[in-house]
Amino acid sequence: MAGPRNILITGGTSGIGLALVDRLSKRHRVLVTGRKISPALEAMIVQRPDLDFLALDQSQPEKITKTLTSYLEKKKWDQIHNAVLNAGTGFVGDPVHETSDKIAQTIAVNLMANIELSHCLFPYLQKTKGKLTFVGSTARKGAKNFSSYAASKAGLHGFARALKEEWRNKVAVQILHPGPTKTDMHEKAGLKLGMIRHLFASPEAVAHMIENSMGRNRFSTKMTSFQYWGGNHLLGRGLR
Amino acid sequence: MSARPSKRALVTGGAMGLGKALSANLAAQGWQVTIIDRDATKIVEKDQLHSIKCDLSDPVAVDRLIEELINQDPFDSVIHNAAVSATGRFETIPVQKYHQLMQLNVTTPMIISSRLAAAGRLNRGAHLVFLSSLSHFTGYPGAAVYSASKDAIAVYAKSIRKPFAKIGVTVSCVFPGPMKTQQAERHSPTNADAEKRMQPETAAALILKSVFANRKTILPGANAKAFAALGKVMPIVTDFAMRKIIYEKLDKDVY
Repeated sequence: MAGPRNILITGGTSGIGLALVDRLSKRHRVLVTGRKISPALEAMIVQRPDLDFLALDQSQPEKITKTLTSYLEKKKWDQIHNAVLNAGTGFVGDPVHETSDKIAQTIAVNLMANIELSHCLFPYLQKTKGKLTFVGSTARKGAKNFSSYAASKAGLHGFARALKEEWRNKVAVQILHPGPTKTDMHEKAGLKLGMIRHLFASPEAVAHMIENSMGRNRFSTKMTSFQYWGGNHLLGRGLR
Repeated sequence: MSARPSKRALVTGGAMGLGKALSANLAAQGWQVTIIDRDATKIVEKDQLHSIKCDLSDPVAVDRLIEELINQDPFDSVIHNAAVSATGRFETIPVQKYHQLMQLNVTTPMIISSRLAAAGRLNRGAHLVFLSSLSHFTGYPGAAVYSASKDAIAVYAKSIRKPFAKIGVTVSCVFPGPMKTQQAERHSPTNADAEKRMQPETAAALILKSVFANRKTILPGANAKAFAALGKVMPIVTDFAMRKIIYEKLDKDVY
């Protein structure tokens, strides 16, 4: 498809989400959601007229549909070409002592909110035969001190895998799995990193790979530094 | 003969189907079994079977339940068997059902496990058992959120295996195929052949044998093993097959 698209990006206030917003909002109409707006995103919105922010708290998934649909109506978006469900949270720690609140929040934000969003966005995406892109994680195969995070991302992969078959010829579904990335997620999660952080991919590199994957027909792709150095970002033409 | 104090087991969703078979098997081996179910009235209380009524899809009720369990003696076995499914087209099932499903199938077993462990209510040598599904290996169009929940719980079980080993608890995860239970009947296409499905009693015996042999991945029966192997080697083929065999034959939404 040529010409500007309507694109929704969740969790676009920092990290990979913000880097992706920066790439895509140069050519497309982008709606960003997040818990609260960040100064970096605010500065970007001032410069780009087709970029918009909606506060959406994914720790309360039940409220998402109502907030989002009424905003889309106000914005006069009755169709969406691409949705990138990128928002996520996580807590590092021994699972024996993980609190109920942390478990419930991880499952709500990373898994249930994305299920609710998929349910809500289906009619908008169907109109354009659009594409739904989930951002998973390489932790989906299991991580001992990141257990509920790993569980939530594994659930997201299983959900995407089933949905891809169900929505065949209606809406394309894919899930992309970034590896460790230089974002503030690890510090927020309570993890102190040393030299190893230098091996992590930058959010810009991951956003580059995400954009290219959105333009291709791969269902699931890993996106780590190794993939980037191997030239993953050079494949595909990006999102026209 | 002076008996050793019996071992204590906790089985969720033990009123029907596989949970009932697991509880009966354990009781027959001399275990004291506490069954948690929302239909506790269906459980015939005997010397070794006790029931607590609780809706495990309600976080407030689960919190109360955990307080009650923490005040009891510790357990030697905890089996997270309770689960619901939702089959049909993803977009036509009310999203509220998915919230309940995810709470019951994922969040509740995770919370019960960590709270009991942190409170020292799992004895050294105890077994913690999660019930996933064969769909973990095959994909399951027609039950997108159910398969998401079963993938999440499988990877949770895998992730906590080493940390829980440090407190002497063995974690197992079971991946059963379709069984001859009321629940499977309800969620299958109308003309599906039920004869090939495994009896819950057979599955329960196979599962418990593997649990006590400290197996981490349990695939009860030869069909489950074969299908899981196929799913691992040829995921695209099994996804396609599941769509043809199940999704395109589903004639109703069941939730």
